[in-house]
Amino acid sequence: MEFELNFFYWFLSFIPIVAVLTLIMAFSWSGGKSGAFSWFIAAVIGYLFFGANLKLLAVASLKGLWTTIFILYIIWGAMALYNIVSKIDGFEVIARTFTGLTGNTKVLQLLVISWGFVSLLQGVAGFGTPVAVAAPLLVGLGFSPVIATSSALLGRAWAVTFGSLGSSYAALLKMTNLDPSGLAFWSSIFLTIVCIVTGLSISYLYNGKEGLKKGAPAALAIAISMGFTLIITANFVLPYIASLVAGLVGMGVGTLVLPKTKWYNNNPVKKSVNKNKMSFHSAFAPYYTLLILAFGIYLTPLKSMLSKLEIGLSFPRTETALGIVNEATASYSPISILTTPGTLVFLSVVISIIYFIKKGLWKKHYGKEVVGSLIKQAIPSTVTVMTMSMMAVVMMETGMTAFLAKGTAEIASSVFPGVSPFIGILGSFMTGSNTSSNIVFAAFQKDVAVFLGINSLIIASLQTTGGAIGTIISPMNVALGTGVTKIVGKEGEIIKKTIIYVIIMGLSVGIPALFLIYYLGF
Amino acid sequence: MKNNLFDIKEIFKEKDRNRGLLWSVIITWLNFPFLYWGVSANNSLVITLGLIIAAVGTGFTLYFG
Repeated sequence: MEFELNFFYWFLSFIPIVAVLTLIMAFSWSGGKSGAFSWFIAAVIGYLFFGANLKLLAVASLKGLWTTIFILYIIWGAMALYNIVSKIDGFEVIARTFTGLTGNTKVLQLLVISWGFVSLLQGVAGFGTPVAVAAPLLVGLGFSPVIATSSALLGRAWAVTFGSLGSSYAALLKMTNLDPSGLAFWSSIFLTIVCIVTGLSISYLYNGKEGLKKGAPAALAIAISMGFTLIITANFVLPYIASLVAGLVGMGVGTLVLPKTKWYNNNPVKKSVNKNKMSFHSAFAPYYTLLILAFGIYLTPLKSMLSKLEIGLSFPRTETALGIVNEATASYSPISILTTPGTLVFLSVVISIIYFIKKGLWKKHYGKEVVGSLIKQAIPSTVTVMTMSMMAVVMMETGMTAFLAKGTAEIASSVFPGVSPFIGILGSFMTGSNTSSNIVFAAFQKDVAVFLGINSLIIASLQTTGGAIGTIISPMNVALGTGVTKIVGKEGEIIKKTIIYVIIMGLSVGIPALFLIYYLGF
Repeated sequence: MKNNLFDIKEIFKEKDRNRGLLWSVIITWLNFPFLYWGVSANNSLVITLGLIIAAVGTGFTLYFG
């Protein structure tokens, strides 16, 4: 009888997640629309079957919304930063400079643009921007649209968690409440493994075994340099800029070091032809500013001084009729206003605009146009993050996530670490976003780890790594890539070409995780 | 005037996704302090009203999203 009751609640707990999955995949609803519907469904199930009252549903929805402020602040800032550089045609200058430096070795060009440059863009902007910028550039350099789109999708995945100035990592922290340094450590390790697989995958995708043979030295050199930088930056500097710094290092190795090595120096290195009067350093000024601010605040005593100003909301205790208790909290999910990454990004935007005005690069009407395109670009992801977060917290506070976790733990038990990245992949496949995947599944994955008595830091890190990998085959991202390379309708071909690499990447972190947990006892 | 945020009639007539979703965000965040006041004061009337307004915001998302 007890099993039937548990199975019934486990099944009910699955409904909001199945609703998101079905609405996005079968009915092609947007993330926001599916999230809104699923929040409503979660609230109704919580009220009717889990004994939640209206106060609990209100508190959970408010907590979900409050959690998004930290994430949305970063998202809006990252998009503003991207838009001001895009407005002055800065990306054209940045891309042309990097392309000119790689010479004529096609596989090196492909690796530098679709992986190094894309990782750098992912570090600062994300939300489809890297694919939208790099894929057409690759087509312009003579790569087929399918290869260009597939490579850009593959090349950005590993950088997603710590990219977009760390919005996915921020979501992981907020949804799990686990030790930030532990999460940064394990996530950076797993993402480095994915990074190595990525370089080799792009080389193979380009020209089979021949491409792999020609591209392997560059793939390994770039992977090791970016992975090492990611681990160092995420663990000892600041996770929020780890992909940005890693992308910069990858670009440096790909453009300044590799063209001079014996593998790639048989092709003359072209000098960059810059029709635009703007210099590379001017175009890159916003990112220099951000790096200086991040290093200047996070690596000095300024951080502890400025971190004192914190805002967090107090929430009352709530309880369901089934006895699930959510204790009262004096400061829920507090935000340090002056040191939060969003503040640094917006400060960089302001300083950069002043710099562009001084340089004569900024026209008066740009401001209004940037705000217009910012609102247009950011509103859909804002609605997605808000609704998915409300749904996830309602599921947590009504006890649905706990039921779901308990049931899944009983079914998957000893192979769960191997399954964990594929849950993250599923999350971003259906939502198109590593951040949304973490919002929907991170708490659930942590709860399963707790029920199984295994390392929840490793499992939560596998969740975000899977979430990053899943962005490769997410229909939303694929459609964006096919749209910008003008091959709309070939989405299926892109997914077919890349899905094998997604599976390999998932296994490349899942199998070591099984070994780490069950054989090495981590 | 096109792009007028307050021309609700036109937004619905044209099913303008951008402006519709912007309204959904505005309604949700304007409702936040109201609902928060309701749960802090444990006022069930305010909580019910706040949840109804939240449902209206969700309705905007479902219609325009």
